[in-house]
Amino acid sequence: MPRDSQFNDDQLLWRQFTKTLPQRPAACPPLLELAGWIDGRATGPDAEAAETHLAECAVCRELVRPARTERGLRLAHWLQVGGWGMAAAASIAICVVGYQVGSGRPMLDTAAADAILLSEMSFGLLDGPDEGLLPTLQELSR
Amino acid sequence: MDVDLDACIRGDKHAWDAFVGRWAGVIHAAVRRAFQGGRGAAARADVEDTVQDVFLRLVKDDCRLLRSYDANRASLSTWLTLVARSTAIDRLRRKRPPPTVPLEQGRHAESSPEPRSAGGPEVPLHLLSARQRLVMTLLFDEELSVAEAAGFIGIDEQTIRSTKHKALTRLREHLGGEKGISPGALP
Repeated sequence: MPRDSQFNDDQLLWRQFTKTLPQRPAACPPLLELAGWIDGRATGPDAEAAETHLAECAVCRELVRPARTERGLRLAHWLQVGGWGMAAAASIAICVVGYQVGSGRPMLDTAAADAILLSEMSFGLLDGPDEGLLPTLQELSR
Repeated sequence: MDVDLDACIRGDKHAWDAFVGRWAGVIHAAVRRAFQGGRGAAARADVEDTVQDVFLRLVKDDCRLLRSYDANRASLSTWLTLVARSTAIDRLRRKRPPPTVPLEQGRHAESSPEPRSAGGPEVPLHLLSARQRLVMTLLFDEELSVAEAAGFIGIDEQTIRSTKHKALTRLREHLGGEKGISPGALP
């Protein structure tokens, strides 16, 4: 964190507050409670008790930090990889569903041929009905 | 591979061997990390000894520590990682030369470095929530970045920033002016 004057002011304020707190933290909780907090299974008062203790106890912070960091990295990695994976899966699913829907109907009937032509024209792919393409589409639609 | 912890506690050798085979790698990695790499023959020996200490600690006093594990409350891998890491940290503390000023050892006896100040404004003990205090501790005592603090707690960076802002606002209301207190106000 950059140590600008605002940081120093805020840190000074925080330290004034911590001087009013009890000097010693309460007894450290069992490792199972800290492990539950790391795993995100501790909720409500259990999570609050763990965080209260972690705010006070540098030793327990040292204890949980690598495990937390590793879990955070694993989660970030999963989200990154999982995100791309989900995008790929969605693309494949769209293709499969599209194929199944399409295969259940006569391919390129007249309406579909007209729709293709219209859509290609609307995207500027064709200036107008292509003389070569139109008969081909009409033939396919028969 | 699932390991039958109840069978381990009952003294089933096959179950215990399976437990060791399944979790020795996790424990070894956690210990090695606590020893920051564990390179060199002496460091490797320390790591190996500590791994043995972890298994001994699990089965000591009729498996008291192993019996305390509850699968509903935490994953076995996280719990074993903490057991391994705390064992390694204890060993490292024992190996360090004694400090000039005696410190009580162990994770139960950590104290804040500065004495509690006398006088000053009366501050409610629960002025800040547990989450706010943890965020402020990480940012201003540990001096972690916002991203590091977010990773530690497992929340997003924006929540860290808003939690810090709310905490500072409360502290200013009780302790100082708009921009905080002047350095001369502290002993």
